[in-house]
Amino acid sequence: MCTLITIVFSFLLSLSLLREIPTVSKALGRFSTFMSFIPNWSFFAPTPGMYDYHLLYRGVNHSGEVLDWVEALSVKDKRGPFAFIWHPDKKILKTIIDLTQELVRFSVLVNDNKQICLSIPYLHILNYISSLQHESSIKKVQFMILSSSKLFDYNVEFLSSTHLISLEKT
Amino acid sequence: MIFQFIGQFNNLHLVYTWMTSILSIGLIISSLEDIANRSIYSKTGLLSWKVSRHSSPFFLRGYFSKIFQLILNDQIFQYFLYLKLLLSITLLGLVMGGIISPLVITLLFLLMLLLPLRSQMGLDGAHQMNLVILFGLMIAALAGIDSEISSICLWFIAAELILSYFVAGLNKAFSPIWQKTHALNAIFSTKTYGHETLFRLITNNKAIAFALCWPMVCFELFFVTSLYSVYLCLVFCVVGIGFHLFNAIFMGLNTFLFAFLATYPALFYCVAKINTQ
Repeated sequence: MCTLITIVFSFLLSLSLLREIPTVSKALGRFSTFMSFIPNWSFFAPTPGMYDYHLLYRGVNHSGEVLDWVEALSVKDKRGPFAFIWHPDKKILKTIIDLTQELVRFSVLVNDNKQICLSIPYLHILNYISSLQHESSIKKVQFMILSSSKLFDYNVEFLSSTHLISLEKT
Repeated sequence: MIFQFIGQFNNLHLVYTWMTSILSIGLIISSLEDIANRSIYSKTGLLSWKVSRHSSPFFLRGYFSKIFQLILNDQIFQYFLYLKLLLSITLLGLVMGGIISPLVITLLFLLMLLLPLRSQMGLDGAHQMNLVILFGLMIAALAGIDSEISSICLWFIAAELILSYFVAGLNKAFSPIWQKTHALNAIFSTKTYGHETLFRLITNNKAIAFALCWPMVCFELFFVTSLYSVYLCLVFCVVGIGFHLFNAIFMGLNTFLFAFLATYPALFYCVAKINTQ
């Protein structure tokens, strides 16, 4: 039994190490569901998170008028004083970072608008945006992700197509 | 005195009690944070099941798709977040009473697996480390804390700890942006992980950026040497506690503090085994 456990642990440790090698990591990507349980230890490296991401959207009303951009999700200017122990905002910020990075990576990789619109991060954001409370006159939405920091000015990371708002609401 | 301190970690019960206590506090905090953010797992949230289920063919077709649909759908999944909190509190309560319950640990491990199964988005290194600890803890608790298997589990947890620091350090050491120490400046310039005062300090004084960057990379790269000496182990662990406290205070990485510190008793056990016998 001890030998079996040791083999399992060694296998898991090897996978943690092997996934750091880009070519091996690509091959392991075929088992993405299983690999989601294997730790990836390259925190903030090789390129750390250097931007804050802002999710914006705008509506198009029934007469075709395009409305102003509205911020759907953004980063607070300052963390709370107890963020060292209680920091729930971290989850939503990390989600936006992951969705944006995956969306940008995929859009560069495939460079095909149809495929991009069907990607999981795109659909996640579109579902969220179209589920927000909109004026009844708004028929379509478009979203945009901006990046910024104190070092870098605002930059458009991603601009979506325009989509009809889903009639299905909660 | 140092040998005495490390030597007491030869006791498997003590090691598992410390590890489980620290882990469960971290799990209570992360569970409460997940509950505060439960709306992202709703039908209209950023990580809704109606989108996530298209991420894997296993969720759409085949024998297990109905099971996944049942346990990962938005409503049930939100109940699981509450259950995770309840189990984390139970785990802490039991360990305070000297009990390490295999049932509670197994259930917690299975619940924690559901998060990356549904979506990897929004999960961080603290979640990964919690999974590693719970996996080791589960096998140890099922086999019996006094068994030889529970000793192997501690070696596994300590190895993952050392590997985590080493991989992070190696990636930084070979990264041009970290080599030029621009990385810290860039990180602290954000609102997500940054800090206004530190950003100003680092921007105005490059020596501070250098003094923070390279010692951190060295700490991560050479943490493995803590296995070779009791003194080195204590020095690295004190620095490690400082490192994670710094990250919690200045970067908002609060759950990393508990997830990583929970693994230190496992390292103490390994160091005690190597150096005090």
